[in-house]
Amino acid sequence: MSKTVFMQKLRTNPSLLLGLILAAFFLKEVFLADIFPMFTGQDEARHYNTVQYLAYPHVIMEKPTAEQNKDLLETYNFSTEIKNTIVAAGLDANRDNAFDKMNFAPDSFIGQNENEINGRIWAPVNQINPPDIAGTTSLYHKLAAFIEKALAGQSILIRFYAARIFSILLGTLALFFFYLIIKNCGFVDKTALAMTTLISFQPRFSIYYVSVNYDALLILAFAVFAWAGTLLLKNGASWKNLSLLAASALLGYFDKGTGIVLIVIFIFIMAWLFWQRFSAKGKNFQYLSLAVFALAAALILYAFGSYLPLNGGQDPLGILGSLWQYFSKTLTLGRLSLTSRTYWGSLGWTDSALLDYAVNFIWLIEAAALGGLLWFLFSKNPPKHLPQKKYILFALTMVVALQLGIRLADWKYVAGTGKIALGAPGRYFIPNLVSHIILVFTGLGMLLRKKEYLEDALVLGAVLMFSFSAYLIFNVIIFRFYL
Amino acid sequence: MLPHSKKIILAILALFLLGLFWRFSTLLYFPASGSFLEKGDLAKLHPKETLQQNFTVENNDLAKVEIILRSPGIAPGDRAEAKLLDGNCQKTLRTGFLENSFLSSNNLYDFTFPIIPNSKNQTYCLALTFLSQKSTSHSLLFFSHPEAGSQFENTTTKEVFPDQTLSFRLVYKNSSFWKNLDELNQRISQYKPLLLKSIYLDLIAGGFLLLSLLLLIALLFL
Repeated sequence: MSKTVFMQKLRTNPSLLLGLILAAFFLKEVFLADIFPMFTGQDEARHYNTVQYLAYPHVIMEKPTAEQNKDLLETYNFSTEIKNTIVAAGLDANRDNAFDKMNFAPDSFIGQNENEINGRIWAPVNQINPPDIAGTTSLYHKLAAFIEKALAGQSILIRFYAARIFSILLGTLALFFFYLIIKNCGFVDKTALAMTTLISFQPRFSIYYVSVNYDALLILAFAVFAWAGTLLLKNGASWKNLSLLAASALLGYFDKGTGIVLIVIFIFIMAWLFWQRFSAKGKNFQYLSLAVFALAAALILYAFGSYLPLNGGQDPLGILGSLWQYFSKTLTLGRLSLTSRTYWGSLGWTDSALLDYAVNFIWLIEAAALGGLLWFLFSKNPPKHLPQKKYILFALTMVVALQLGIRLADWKYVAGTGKIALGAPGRYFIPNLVSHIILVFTGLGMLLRKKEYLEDALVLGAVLMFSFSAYLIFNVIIFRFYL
Repeated sequence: MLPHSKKIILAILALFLLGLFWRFSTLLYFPASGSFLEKGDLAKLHPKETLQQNFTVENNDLAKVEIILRSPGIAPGDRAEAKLLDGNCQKTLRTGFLENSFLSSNNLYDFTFPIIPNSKNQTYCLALTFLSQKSTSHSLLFFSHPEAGSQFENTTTKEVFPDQTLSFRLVYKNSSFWKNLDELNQRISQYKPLLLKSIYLDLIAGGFLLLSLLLLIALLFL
């Protein structure tokens, strides 16, 4: 097939290029899963232990024999198999000093104690009380436990990496929904494909999806919700859209507490639909609509109430004081910039300013995009190749709602403990990555005006994001663990 | 004919790829397996003094020595000279300075030098001299820990530290890029299931790079 024919096929059949995006993403993620040693993901040992806790019986409970040391995973209350695997593979070397390396066997593809681990001599059973687990209700853990049970006769190496690949499959599915969201917002095919490519290389998104963690399903739930919301705006309310919205909100909620944000937006959308439908039908209906709004607001307050540091009813001044304390502790320039740096995937493992420069450059682009976005929102005649305002307002709602949810949870923790323990690490905001990118490129599109310029900007953005990601993979992550 | 804007993007992609892989190739050094940098006792080194220790190398292709210092390490403007000498500490084989490691780690320093191909089972002597450029510089603090049969000496004060070793680690580099890639593959493959090891790892890495580049180029030509 000649080059021209191939390009013609790509132009007329965007699903071909979408397939290429998903295949490249999947392979990148498998490679990343391969280069991150076991249990080096965020709380990954705890999440995998939760999977084992749900997959196998755990009736025998013993008291812990050693005090927990946060630098030594082997001292945590994990299953016998996880604890012994950590010791046998020397995985604790990856916990503390960046210069510590695992004890690699020379001239071999097989680790010194790998055969012992593959021999399945340790029970995958939690015997210590209380077990170190991340709750027992998350849908992600239940699904991963199903895979764990199906592979029960295999080595922990196969079962653990199968769980990571399960996360990657959820990520690939989330990326597919990202494309659908962008496309249904009103971006043309090429723009939507370039934007999906750019997102597929976003380093934090990429790193996050290669570990055993319930956020893998949460991000997918956010993606499906945003897609259903976009369809609702595009085609109007239908049972299909509303069912999808409700199902994805429940999916998020039953996966992780953060999913409550989707329930809140869902209630708000339902109230808005009610208002749209009935407010024009006379006074009585207006009152009814107002009552529905009030009910929705009460439900939202009730939903978020558990996140507020009320503890038995503080007076309004007390709440304001607590909020002020929280803001003064957490909304500092340093903390906000740290959130943003970690959101973009900057890892502080190397003595190089390159990653900082890369994020500074992104900030510059975002600042320009913010100007463009404001111009877009107040413009009476924005360019036709950009989405309509309703989609942008929906994306903004998603971003603001998640921000509020995370800040409220963080505020409650700071008010309760006086410590900034949770903080607001960038990874918490990844569920809204697609909304964020849509907002940035709508703003840039407004500034660039012409469709061709926006397309070039997106392709350049994809090239730069690929370079950023590849630099992190080859020159930071591999260097940290193996060189 | 490709428009100018796309040609520029293509050139940027090529430039970034070149830079990326050049940097990657410069990072391919392999610290000795099972060699941990321990933070135990402290050995002071005042300006103009020299610490010296003999050690035996286990493998060929010695290319670097990594040394850990206690905070604050070497102050800007100061330098610590490093020399690799023969086993009698007479003939200088390699010379250089302790440089900050690329790894963002508390005071890890590299003494990098051209590969010594036949280093296996050879005994060498490491000499570290603090060349302070500032009158206010106090001393460098090296970590040391007990090790039977080893010893190091401050050759200026003649103080000997028996059954102690400085905390340093030997690092190797193979003679070719492909051998380095093979050793890296071996390290990544350990404690992984079969389908993520060896040739499969090569296929996954190659596939990801190939498909990603194909994707970016397809977007450019679309």
